[in-house]
Amino acid sequence: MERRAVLKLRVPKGYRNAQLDEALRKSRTAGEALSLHECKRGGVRAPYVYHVNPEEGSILMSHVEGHTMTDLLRSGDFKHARSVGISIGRLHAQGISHGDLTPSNILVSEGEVVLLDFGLSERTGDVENLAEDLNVMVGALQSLVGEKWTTVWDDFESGYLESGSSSCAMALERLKQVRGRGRYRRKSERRSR
Amino acid sequence: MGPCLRTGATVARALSLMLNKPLVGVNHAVAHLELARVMTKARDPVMLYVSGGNTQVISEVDGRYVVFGETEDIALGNLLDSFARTAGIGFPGGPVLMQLAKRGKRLIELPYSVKGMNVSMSGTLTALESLAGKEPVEDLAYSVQEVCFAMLLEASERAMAYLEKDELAISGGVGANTRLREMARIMCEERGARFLDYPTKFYADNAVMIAMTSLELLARGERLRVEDSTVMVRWRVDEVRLPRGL
Repeated sequence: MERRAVLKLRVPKGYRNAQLDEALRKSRTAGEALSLHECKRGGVRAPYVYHVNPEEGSILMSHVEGHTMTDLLRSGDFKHARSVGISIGRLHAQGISHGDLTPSNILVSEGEVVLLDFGLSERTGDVENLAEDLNVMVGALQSLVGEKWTTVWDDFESGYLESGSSSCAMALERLKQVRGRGRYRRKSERRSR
Repeated sequence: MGPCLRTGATVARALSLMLNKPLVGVNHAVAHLELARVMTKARDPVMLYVSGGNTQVISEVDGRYVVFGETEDIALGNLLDSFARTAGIGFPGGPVLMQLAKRGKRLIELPYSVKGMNVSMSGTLTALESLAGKEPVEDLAYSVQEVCFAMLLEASERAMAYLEKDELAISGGVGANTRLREMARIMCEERGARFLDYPTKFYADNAVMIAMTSLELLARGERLRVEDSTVMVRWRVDEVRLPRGL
């Protein structure tokens, strides 16, 4: 049986102190492999891990064919927002935060949502981290689709709450609390000078 | 912050009336970024704005500077000054810490917290303050620079990748730190991007950046009547429609 695979290699960063760099690459590689595996228990689709080597910072994983959410949103295709919400809701219901939840880390493959790049994920269930995922999503939507972001967000939110988990409801509540800060507000609400 | 700004505003109003010159309102952060952009002839950079009160990763979208990442708690300059005070170094602490760091050799483990394009540094400060007096100050100075600068550059690099941009510029007082700029240059070289550097004296707050930005605004016809003028403590960078056309 033939399978296409991807080798993700965390290369050393020359700007970072070597000792710090090595520690980060190891822990992120191990953490990413663990989250890629664990998220599937809650019904989240993600690449399959074939092999992981934290020492050299490498993960061999299955290749996923598809379009990134970024490309879909740019082309005006908003119809997957609810499915993305369901997927993130399932992730958060298990206490896993993604850590870099931009649309470029979300893939739509044959109509199904696949999450990528779990290098900054945490499995602590910290509401603050879950809310930060949502916050990153809001910011990315605002910069990608402008004023239309609210339409996309409404669909996302209805899917997100579908899992019925209390941590999702709390994360959403936390996001709303911090909306008083400038960038959470809708553009039309901002003063223009 | 309010009283400082009001003092400055009073002087500006007085000068405007005394010398019969037009009064223009300038956003401080925009002035920093505009000066960096003009001095480096940047086309479309990601900008790391890092000072005593701000730590933000910014880029331009549709005629506005948009904040893509920022600190979730304290600014880096604030962290450096707070730590310097605990360590018995005077204000501002940044320049002295930079000199001490050159003699530091050992990396002391400190919380490293990057969340996508955002960073969090209050935990790093707490750890540092608990270590003050227990570890050599040179090593602490070295470690805080290595850890915090790496966090900022990781966030900046992620923004460059996400926004598909190949220029980075830094502005704000912490940019006067040569190690930060060295790390920025290495990061850019490694990804085939350009780090746009300029003379150290223009990184920190300066009058030229305000003068240059007000000229841009004036050219666009912006005028402020003295009786309408006020200070805006929470005037965010993305609320400003950018002046262009110099």
